[in-house]
Amino acid sequence: MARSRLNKPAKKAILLVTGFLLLFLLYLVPPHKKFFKERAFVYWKDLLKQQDKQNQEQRKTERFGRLYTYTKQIEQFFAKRGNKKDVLVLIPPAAYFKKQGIDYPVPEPGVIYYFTDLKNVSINNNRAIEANWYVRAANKNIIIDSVTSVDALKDTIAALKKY
Amino acid sequence: MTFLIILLLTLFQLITGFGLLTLFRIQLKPAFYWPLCILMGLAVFSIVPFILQLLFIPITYTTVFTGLAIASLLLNVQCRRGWNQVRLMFAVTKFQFKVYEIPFLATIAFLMLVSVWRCYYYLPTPLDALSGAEVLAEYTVREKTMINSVFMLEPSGNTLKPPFLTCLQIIYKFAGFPPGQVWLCNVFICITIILYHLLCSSLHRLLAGLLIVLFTIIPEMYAYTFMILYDYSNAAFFFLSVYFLTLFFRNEQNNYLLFAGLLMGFATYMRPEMPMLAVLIVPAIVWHFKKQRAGVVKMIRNNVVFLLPTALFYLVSVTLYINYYLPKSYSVMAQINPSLVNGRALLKQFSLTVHELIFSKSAIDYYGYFIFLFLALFLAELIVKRRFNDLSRNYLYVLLIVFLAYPTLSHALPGLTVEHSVKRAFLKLFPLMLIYMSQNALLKGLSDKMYRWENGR
Repeated sequence: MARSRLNKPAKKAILLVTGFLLLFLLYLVPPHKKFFKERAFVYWKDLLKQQDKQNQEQRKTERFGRLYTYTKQIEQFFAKRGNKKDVLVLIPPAAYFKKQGIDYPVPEPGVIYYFTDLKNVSINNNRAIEANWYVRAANKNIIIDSVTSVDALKDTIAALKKY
Repeated sequence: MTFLIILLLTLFQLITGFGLLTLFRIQLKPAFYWPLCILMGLAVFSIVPFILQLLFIPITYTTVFTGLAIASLLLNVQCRRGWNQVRLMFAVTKFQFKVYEIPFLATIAFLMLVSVWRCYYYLPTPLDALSGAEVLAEYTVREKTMINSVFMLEPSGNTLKPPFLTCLQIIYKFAGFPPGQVWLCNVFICITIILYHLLCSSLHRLLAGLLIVLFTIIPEMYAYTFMILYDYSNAAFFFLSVYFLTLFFRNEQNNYLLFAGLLMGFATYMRPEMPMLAVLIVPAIVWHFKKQRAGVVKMIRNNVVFLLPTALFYLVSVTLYINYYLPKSYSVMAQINPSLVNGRALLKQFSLTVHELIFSKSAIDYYGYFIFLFLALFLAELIVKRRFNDLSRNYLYVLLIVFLAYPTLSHALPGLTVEHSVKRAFLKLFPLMLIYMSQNALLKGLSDKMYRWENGR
């Protein structure tokens, strides 16, 4: 069998060039190109921008968008009143807000609790009737009202259930 | 300061894992040994707050880190023997690096850097984690118990799971990290190093580098390197269990079988359906002993050794903890499909799985062409060589059982949808496919030719 005339360093150089070539060819394959262009390189650019944005609130707003900002808006209402610990707030489903022109992707009660420390229920929960505050929408704004009577709350829950 | 704390915690995990590997008398090359130490240390970490909760000890900074220290000390009771073993390991191992690995290692390093940053910067993103493990961990830190005010809210299935993620989040919160998932980097980096090492031990490093890059850029797999759910960690530990089982088949040392069982136990702590896969792996163990004409007693004993850790982890973290500790119960029986024996529906689930997760555009978005590469190499070996070596057969068997088990489970428990649960569960397939490829006769043949050319033979 004829031996190659190339010495070992030359062969390693050839293999190195082959390695780069293989990576380039790999990049040209459509799903891989999509991966690098839409994910890896975008994430790298994010990393460079995020070096100076390490504030917790900035991170949460960036990551969760409207889900976080609307949820914090609800929390700020109670924080100003100083009664966060005493509330059980009824939060309608996302479809209700969408109908009212507010794109609020209402998360699970656990997520709202995590972001705000507010005890909350959805309309389908058995404890919905125990809520002492409820959230509604009017003129594309989020309004928070106290529950004045159990009957009124029952009517509200019944009306929201169609969503 | 943050970087220093990450390093210290990782070192703590390494020491803890070192103790565990010493007790099990596991001997490996350094490139496998040290990352495995960190992974095992992380697994031990994930149990400590859970044990505190089971004993109703308040979960505070002091009790958690004291618990971790005690666990580490107890596991390192034979550290002297371990250290002698390590010295021998370094004496007989030569560090090898080839310049043509640079392009692939640089690519992996870039992807790791990006993933590590996202683990640190972002809160847990999947809403399943946010409404489950993360909120539980947050309120555990505040209320000193995992059975906390989160359970007073609306019932969520995400809070009724074994607390693997919750415990790790608790530890890293006590260590002072902002909400994130920093520990997940250790799983990603360590399993990648282990897989690369295994590839290099079978194939030319150029091929190994290409395959590890192909594996890392599987979109769904990469996404879960910085988004905590159970699936990436579960895939890593499931693969390691299978790997050590195949090692036991080769070296016949019972400590490796027990270690494989322990790894499957940890995998069960992450995903409670693992006992099903563990039981389906038993025929491979039975077949191994049948070939050796081993007695029935030995066969049964070894199967018990493999299955016992899985059973224990399931009994404690699911049966005992979820049903008797948590204020809300979770009944698997209530989730079962009333039309369980409907064969047509089962076939439809398989058909949906194959279509959605292999032969559709969205499947390419999830997994790239990795599955097709595997299928091409498998078919090529089947047609050209018409036989598989023992190791390949074992991996192919486990691949088959994972592929068959999850659509079946999705049929039995309709809550496990193909689009979400099975899609993530299939992450377990990829490390197995990767290591099968490293044993593929055609790739090995190409690898041998490349080595001969490189070394002038």
